[in-house]
Amino acid sequence: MLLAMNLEDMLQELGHEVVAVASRIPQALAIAADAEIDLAILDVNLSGAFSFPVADVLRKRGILFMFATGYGSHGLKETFRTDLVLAKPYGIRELEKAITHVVSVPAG
Amino acid sequence: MNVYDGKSAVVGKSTVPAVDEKSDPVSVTKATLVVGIGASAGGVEALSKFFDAMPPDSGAAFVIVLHLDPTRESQMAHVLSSYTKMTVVQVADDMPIHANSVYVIAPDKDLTVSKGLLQLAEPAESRGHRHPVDVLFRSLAADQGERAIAIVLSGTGSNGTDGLKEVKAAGGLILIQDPASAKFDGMPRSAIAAGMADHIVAPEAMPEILVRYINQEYIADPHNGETADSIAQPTIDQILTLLFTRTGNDFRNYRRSTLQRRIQRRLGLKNIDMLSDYLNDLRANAEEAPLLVKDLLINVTSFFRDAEAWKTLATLVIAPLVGGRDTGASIRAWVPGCSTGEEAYTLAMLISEQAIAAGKKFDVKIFATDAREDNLKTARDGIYPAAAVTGLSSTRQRQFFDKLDASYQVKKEIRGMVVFAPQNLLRDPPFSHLDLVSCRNLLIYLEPEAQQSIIALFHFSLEEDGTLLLGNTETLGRHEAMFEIISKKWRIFRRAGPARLEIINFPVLRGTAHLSKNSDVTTPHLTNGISAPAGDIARRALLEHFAPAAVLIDRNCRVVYFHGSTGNYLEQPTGEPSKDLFLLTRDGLTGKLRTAVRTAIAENRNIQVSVNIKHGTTLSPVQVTVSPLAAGANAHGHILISFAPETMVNALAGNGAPSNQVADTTLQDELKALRNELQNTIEHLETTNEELKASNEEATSMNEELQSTNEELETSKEEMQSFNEELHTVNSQLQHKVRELEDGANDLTNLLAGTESATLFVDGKLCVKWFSPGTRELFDFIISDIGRPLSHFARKFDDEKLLPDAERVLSTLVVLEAEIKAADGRWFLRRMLPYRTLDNRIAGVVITFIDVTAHKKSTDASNEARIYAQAIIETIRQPLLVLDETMHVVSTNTSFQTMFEVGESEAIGKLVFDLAKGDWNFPKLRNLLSLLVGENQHFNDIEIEHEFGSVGHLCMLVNGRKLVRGNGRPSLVLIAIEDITHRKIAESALRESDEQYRDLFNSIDEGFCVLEKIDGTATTPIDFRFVEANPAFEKQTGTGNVLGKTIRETFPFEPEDWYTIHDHVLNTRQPIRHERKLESAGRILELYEFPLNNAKQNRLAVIFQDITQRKSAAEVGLKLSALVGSSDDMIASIDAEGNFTSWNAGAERMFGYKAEEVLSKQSSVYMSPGRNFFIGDILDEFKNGRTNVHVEAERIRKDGSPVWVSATVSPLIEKDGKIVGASIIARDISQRRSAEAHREILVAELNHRVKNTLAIVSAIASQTLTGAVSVKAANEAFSSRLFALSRAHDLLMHGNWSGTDLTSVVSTTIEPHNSGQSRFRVEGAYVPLQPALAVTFSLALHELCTNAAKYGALSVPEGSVHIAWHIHGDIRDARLQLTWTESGGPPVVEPTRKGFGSRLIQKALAMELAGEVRVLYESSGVVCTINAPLPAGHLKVEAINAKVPQ
Repeated sequence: MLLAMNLEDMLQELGHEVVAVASRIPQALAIAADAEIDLAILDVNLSGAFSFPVADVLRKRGILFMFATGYGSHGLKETFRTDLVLAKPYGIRELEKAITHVVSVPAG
Repeated sequence: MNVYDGKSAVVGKSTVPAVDEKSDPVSVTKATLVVGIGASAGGVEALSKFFDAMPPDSGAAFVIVLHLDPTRESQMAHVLSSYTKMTVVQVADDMPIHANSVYVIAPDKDLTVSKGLLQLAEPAESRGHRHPVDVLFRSLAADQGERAIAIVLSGTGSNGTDGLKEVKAAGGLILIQDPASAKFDGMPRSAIAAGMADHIVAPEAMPEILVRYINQEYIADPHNGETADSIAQPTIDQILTLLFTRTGNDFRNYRRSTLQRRIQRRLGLKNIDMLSDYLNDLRANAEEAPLLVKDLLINVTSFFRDAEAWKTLATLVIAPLVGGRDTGASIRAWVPGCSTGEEAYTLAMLISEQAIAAGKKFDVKIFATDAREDNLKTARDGIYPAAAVTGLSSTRQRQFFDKLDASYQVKKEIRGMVVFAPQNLLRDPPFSHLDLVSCRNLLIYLEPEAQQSIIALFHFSLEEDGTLLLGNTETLGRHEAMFEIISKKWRIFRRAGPARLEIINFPVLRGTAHLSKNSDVTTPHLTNGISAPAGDIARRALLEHFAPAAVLIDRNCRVVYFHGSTGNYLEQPTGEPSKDLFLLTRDGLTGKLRTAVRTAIAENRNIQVSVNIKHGTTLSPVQVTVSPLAAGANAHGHILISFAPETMVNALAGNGAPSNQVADTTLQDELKALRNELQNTIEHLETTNEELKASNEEATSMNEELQSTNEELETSKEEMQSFNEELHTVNSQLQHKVRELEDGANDLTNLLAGTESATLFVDGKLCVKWFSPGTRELFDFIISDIGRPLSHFARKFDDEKLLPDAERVLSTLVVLEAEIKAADGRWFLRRMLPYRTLDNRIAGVVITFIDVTAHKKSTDASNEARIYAQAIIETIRQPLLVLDETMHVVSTNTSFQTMFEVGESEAIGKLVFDLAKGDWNFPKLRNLLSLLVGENQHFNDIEIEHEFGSVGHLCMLVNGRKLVRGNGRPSLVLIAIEDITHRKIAESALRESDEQYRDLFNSIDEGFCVLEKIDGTATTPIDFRFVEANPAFEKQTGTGNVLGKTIRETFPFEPEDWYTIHDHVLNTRQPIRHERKLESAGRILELYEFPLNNAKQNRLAVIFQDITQRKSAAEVGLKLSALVGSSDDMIASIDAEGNFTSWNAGAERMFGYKAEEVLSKQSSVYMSPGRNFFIGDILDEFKNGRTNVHVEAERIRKDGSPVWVSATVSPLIEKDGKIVGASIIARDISQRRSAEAHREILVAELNHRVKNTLAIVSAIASQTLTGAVSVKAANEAFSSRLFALSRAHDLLMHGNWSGTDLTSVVSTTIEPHNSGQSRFRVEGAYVPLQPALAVTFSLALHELCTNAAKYGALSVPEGSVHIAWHIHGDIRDARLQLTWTESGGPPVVEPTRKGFGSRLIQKALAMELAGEVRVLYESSGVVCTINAPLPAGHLKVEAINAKVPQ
């Protein structure tokens, strides 16, 4: 959660508004299902559980998202291998680049 | 007074209430009731049952008499003591009787009871004739009286019956064992036949009756009957009246006390308390009245009862009587109340004895009378049970009795002397002109009045000097003067004096009502010593002193009463005493008195006359007064005549001086009187004259009458004479008829005895009427059984329906027959038909039993033979055919029908040659059959082959017999056919196989020989001879031509155990397989030896083979297979088709399949086709020249798990180069493969962790640097935070990155801040933490510690921190509650700016935990509380609580 806190700082520094932070899958699913958000950054491992169900919900709603992981893209489920991966460790520049990249690529 | 009231009464000895007047009531031991038990054979069993059931506290004493061996000590007491809790002792002399004790007789003794003591005596009779039970019972009766109780149990003979009679007479209770339950029923049946039983029951049922009886009033208070007399009287009278109306027996003249006690006894038996209840019972229950009568009238007579009395009678009376008469004279005697006749017969016997002794013959007539017809019938028959005559001497028994099986009959001569007739002593006229009257023990039962009238009757009946015999305790009473005493002791009296008709009162008023005694005018009760009042006494004294002598007469002038001294006036003339007044008067009185009386009667006034009575020469003047008395209550026109002497009258008239005038006057008076008297006399004379005239006329007319009466009488006499003649004729006719009847009866008896058919007549109530001797084989009859119900008899045959059938015959009048089986195995035909009398009345049933044993047996035998033959014919498997002489089928058996497929119905009656469409019509059969019919021949085993259309070709053996039947009936022909078609085939097959076996024997490669044992002798050991040997024998042993030789001859150097083995096979009859070296040939043989079943059982066969080469090859093989077996690698082989041919233990371990699961199965099945391992392909490659193939592949084990193998497959090539299979050697390489995979995963994980950690480090750096006040502080903070992170990682490393727990995290984190002192207090349970959470926790705690060290509790030496956590909630909703509490530090204030530390704690930790984290800056110190859920199912509360750190 230290990472989440740091990420929150970085996002605010980049001028984004952090709508919510979730540390558990059920919590994240609830947010993904009805929060007004533009982009979600998902740590693959949320308190010991994979966050793929959350990504499924987001994809259904057409909300942009990206994964943050130390495994690299081959640690993802096959269906998400094409999605953007924010490789740990990352600094504010890498974050900014990734967000720019996600936003520029049309969803689908 | 002595006039019997004329009521009808039944008097007879049998009809007398039994009471023993001799018994002395003082001797009755009231305290203890004594029960006498008599038993003999089978008695122990009965006693044991009895005592088993008898309560030990009944209060009674039991005295047991058994027939014991006199020469041995008795164990009886000991035996019985095991059945009862009462004391059981053997009796010693004078032993007192105690209640609740059992006394057993000692051997060879007689036992009696007397006054509460038991007494032993030497037996009076010789051994074998003793009746110890009788002895006991008699003494019981004498001692205990009506309290006596006697029990008769199992035993033979009649012992006890005589004694029971005394008990019965005394009024005691008698229990008899039911003969059906007795092992030996002689004694019980004897007692029952004598009519002694009160109860007939099984021994186990007796105690109940006993106990009930003992507690009855009759026994408990024996004399109660007398005390309760006044109360009971009316009811007793009612009972007697009831008995009179019901049964005609009148007991009203019987002694009250006796009746009372007998009725009480009946109450006792019936278990009724109140007399009135009994009366009701008597009224309601029709059967009770006869029973009571029977109880009241008990037969107590017997032959020569009181022998001494009879002896005295014989000496003192009969002997003189016989001596005084001539042959041909008649002797008449009367036995009233004769009961069943014993007394009468006794008398007859005595007279007969005396007559024989005197050599004379008399016409003896003994009238024996009794009121009861049934008694008389028994008496007339004269048949008595054996027990009745046991008391008689053997001479008398022989002389007077005929023996009929178990009974005795009085001889005909004696019976001829006695005439039995019904007569009622108190009612009917007596017999007369008797020499002897014997009436013993009869009067005692009657009231005194009745007794007296009977004595008077006897006096009348007897001749002058006739003798009267009474019972021992009877007396003559008032009539003593009429008899002289002959023997006072035995009550023998002789009649004295003339007949006193006046005291006899023939009771002629049959059945009239009770007459008042006062109606008897001849006996006024004036002189009776009746107590009178004083007035009467005074009056009587006055009368005696002052009243004149007087006499009272009736109107017939008979003197009724004398008063005072009448001797001066009246006098008895010579001759018989007279009561006629005018015969009694003295001279001079008669005339005047007669006149006076007549006048007095005529004028009914007092008449006075003066009379001069002549006394010798003097005349005494007497004044006579005749006064008619008024008819009244007491006087029926009596007349009183009083006498007063004249002087007395003159004196009374005055005593004036005599003078002439006076003398004249006197003379004139006298003259006047004389004239009057003369006148009177003249008148009387005239009157008398008139009367005489009238009398004369009367006499004349009477004469006329008498003459005519005489005429009539003459006529009557003639009539009587003719009637007498007629009677004589009828009598002779009757006698003739009787003789005819006797002849008829004899004929019938002989006929029935001769036919041996058992015949039985029973009456309408199914009581035995008559039986033929033959029936005794079927029933236990004795003569006296006639009249007893048939159902009472034990049968010696099995016939449930005997009685029902008899009843059916009675009701339906049909004739019934049944076959029954007797106990001895014989069979009887039981016929029942109604018994018709001549007048066609049905009077019962005739039952005949005809022995049909022989018939039954022959019928059974022929039936059995028929069934036997039938069974044989039906069972036999050979077809049988029976033909008649004309070759028509008579019968066939099942086998024939089956074999030739010919139905029985279609065959019978047909010509044999027509059977089965002419199948049987062939020459050979025709010839055979014609032979058989023609010449009475038979043929055996003729073989015929024939083609039958229906059943095909058959080969048969045919046997034929001609059956010649008797009685001219046509002969039959029996044909038996045996189908030998199959046998023929089998025989040829056997021959064929024999040859085949011979070929086999000769051609097999194995050696074969048959050995026969030669038994060893003393000098030669056992040996075996070759009986057979095949050609291979030589090939296998190298030795040939052995037939007929022995082993020792052929192989002389072989070791002895060869012989031992052969012998062993022969002895055990078990085959043996073994290997041996044949030394002489140097070969190893494998032998199989087995015994042969020849007759001597001395042969065995040996099959063997030379296995020398196989042996050496096998040794090499063994070593190889050990290698293969011990290898961890799979070593297997397959054949050319890919089937496994071997599979070692290594393969089993590697794949989990056992050899037997795999061998000869396709290898691909187990080797998982579809990967890269095709045996078929490899085999193809070998064919193309490859020498081996190496593969690594994944395979599947039996349990489904994968296994990696590295295998080398090599071809198996035969010498000719042909590939016959392949060998596979494989090794498990799974471990190596998984280690490689694991390594790859670790590398990837490491990469991920490192990157993740770097991300955290980057975040810490970023956060630390962002809010840093100085580079130095940032540097310190950063490094201390990295250090905390590093320690957290250390911790996780220990847990192999699978997580750690809260306690470890806390202690690791606080350790650097503890600086050797105990600043922290940590309390909390075991809570596991995931790695990420552990890291966050570590960093958060580190920030708290750092803050405390800078500003809080740890900044001063005395400050401390308390960290405590616990888990609450349940497993599904567990929450962690942790508090960090600082104390002892300087006062804190909430910081104005939130740095990294507080954000980490309040935000990051709260998020990571998904819970709440609050930090309070209390003045006492910082308090941080964490409240977070624990992941569901992640922990177990119990497990956590169990791991509370120390």
